[in-house]
Amino acid sequence: MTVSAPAPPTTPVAEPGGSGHRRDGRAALGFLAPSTSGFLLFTLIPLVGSLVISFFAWPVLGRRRFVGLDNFVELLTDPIFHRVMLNTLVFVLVYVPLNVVVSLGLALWISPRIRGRGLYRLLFFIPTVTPMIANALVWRLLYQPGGPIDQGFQAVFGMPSPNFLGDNRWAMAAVILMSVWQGFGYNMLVFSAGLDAIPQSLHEAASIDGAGPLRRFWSVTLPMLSPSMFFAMIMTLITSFQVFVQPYALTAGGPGVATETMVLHLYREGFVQFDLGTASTIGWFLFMIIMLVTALQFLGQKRWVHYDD
Amino acid sequence: MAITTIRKRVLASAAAAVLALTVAACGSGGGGGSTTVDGKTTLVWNMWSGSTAEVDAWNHLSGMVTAKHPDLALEFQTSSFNDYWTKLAAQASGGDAGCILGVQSYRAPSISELLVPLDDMLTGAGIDAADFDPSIWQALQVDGQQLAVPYDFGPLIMFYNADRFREAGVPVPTTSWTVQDFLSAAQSLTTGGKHGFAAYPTIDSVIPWSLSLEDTTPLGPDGELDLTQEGFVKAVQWYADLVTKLGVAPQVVATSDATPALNSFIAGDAAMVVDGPWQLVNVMDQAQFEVGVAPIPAGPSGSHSQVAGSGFGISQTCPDPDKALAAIAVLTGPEGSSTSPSRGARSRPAPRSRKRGSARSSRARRKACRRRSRTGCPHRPPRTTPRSRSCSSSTAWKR
Repeated sequence: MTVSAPAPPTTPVAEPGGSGHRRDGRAALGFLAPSTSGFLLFTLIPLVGSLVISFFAWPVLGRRRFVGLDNFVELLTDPIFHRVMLNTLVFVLVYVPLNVVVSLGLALWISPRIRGRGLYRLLFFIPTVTPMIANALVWRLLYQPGGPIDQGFQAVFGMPSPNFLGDNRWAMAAVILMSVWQGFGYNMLVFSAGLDAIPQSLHEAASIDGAGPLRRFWSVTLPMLSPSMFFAMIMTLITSFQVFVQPYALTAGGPGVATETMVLHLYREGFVQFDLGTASTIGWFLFMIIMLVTALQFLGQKRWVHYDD
Repeated sequence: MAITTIRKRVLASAAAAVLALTVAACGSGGGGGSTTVDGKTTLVWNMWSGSTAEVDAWNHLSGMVTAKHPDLALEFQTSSFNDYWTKLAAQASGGDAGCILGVQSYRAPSISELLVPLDDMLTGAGIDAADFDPSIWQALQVDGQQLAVPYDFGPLIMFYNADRFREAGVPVPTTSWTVQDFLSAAQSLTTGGKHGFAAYPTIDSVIPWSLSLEDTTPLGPDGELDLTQEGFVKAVQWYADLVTKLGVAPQVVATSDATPALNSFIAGDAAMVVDGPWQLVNVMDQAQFEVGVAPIPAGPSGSHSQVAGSGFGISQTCPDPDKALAAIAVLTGPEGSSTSPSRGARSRPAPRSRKRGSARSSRARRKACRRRSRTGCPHRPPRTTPRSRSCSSSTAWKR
């Protein structure tokens, strides 16, 4: 084994072209290898694979056949898929603002140094860390005819509650309500941390200038919180486009297709009907929609997000 | 320098090895569900089940296979009915399915690619088609090829809570009861927050009623789905009225529960429910009351029901199809069923010689069979049937 003596200190960059850089590059590649291989193996290759599959009629069992854009055309002309996209859109448009309002409200409520603040934070975060399937099962018991909500209605109003999970008009509302309860804890924590990071001196200065609590909220708290809100908004948007477990466990997409969302439809096409071609196509539709919406968000952020530098 | 290089190389190769292992683990298995050690062949047997009582019953049968063929053993692998098909497709696409597969008559066409045609092998294994009821025997054929040997077969029947009937002083259903009897019993039993009947929110659960009330199947003359024909629409309205107008059944909800009506019956909330005889083992196991069974009540066109059944087939990847068929012969044969621990509930197997003692009503079955042969079988839609998407979510109960 040869152990080379340390090279004498040389004047920098003897070799042209910077082979030192190249050696660094190789080392960097080594360090990146674990995460890159994971990304390649579990994200990029399946992604490209699913794009390929979306151009095929690809049953799990049986003969595969190249069909070009047929899967895309078929989905775009399918009234059920229209309804599924509409459901997803309704879910996103109602759920995301509701989630942000509830989590911001609760974060504001516990942001002053009130007694038992840590306890509230913990309590509000519990729904987020409990398994969603278990939550959905409990909510199913609450919602069902003869369940606690129905009994409460009977006692207070003397009439039965709407059949939340059996009525086309109520099912999506029931799913959204359960999702907000399940999902607000994470954003609340983000907002709570964001609020704590706002320097007290800003509030004090505004007070001295004569700003009331409402004015301070609009002109100090919200702008200072906008980076947190931007982050929360992007993440919530992406996850709510991908909503699956809530309708799957609560209503199984019913009644009819009233609560069937895109990912639930994808699952059903791929793993109940065994039509992987259509399932991949739905996946790509979803991917394109999420990309577009996220890109728009990033473009729009200049208008309302203030990075405090 | 050399040291660092070596270390880097070691790291790199270790990383590569870990990666390779992970990848290999994903694709491991194979072998087609059969292993032979010391002359004893172990065959993997994939089957659905809904309770531990069912699993015990199947495991008992697997013991009987080994008793008859000491060189054979079965490894029982199971999942719930809905998951079974997803898992089977996933395993099959990886070439990893078991040797013996549970096959339900409704689903036979969708997995026909997986199964070995048995026609040429049956005689060698001592299986005779004449021993089985022709309707279930044919229900397990696809394109004229026999893909599975039936082990059970039955029409949808009415389960009732005999205790509730007795308490309310309502006469219990007889084999000749009518839809009128059913309605008046359901009305008398709907008191104090409990209901007389529980309805499934699926279109297929209307079929026994559309047959009995309106003499209609949901199929048109050419075997295509025709849900909007007059008789079927009337039957659906009648079925929905049980909930909305008469209030004798609880409101239905969209749910991920595969058998909501049966569960409501087992919980004692509904006094009657229509489901298959294969559920008897679960009902007997879980219900805290005396359970009775009756045929579908007779309507203007008589008492009719819908038939479903299941059997066992052999996967294409099985290296020992002959041994697998020998095992299936035991599972579906008279010895297997006469000592079956499932109390006759699974009405196993279907051989004609064993009609007596089964839970189903032979009258309902006879009619159902007649119906079936005349209309070309509502329970095995042709491959060209358009996918009924909206009902696909909760059809698990019709095994």
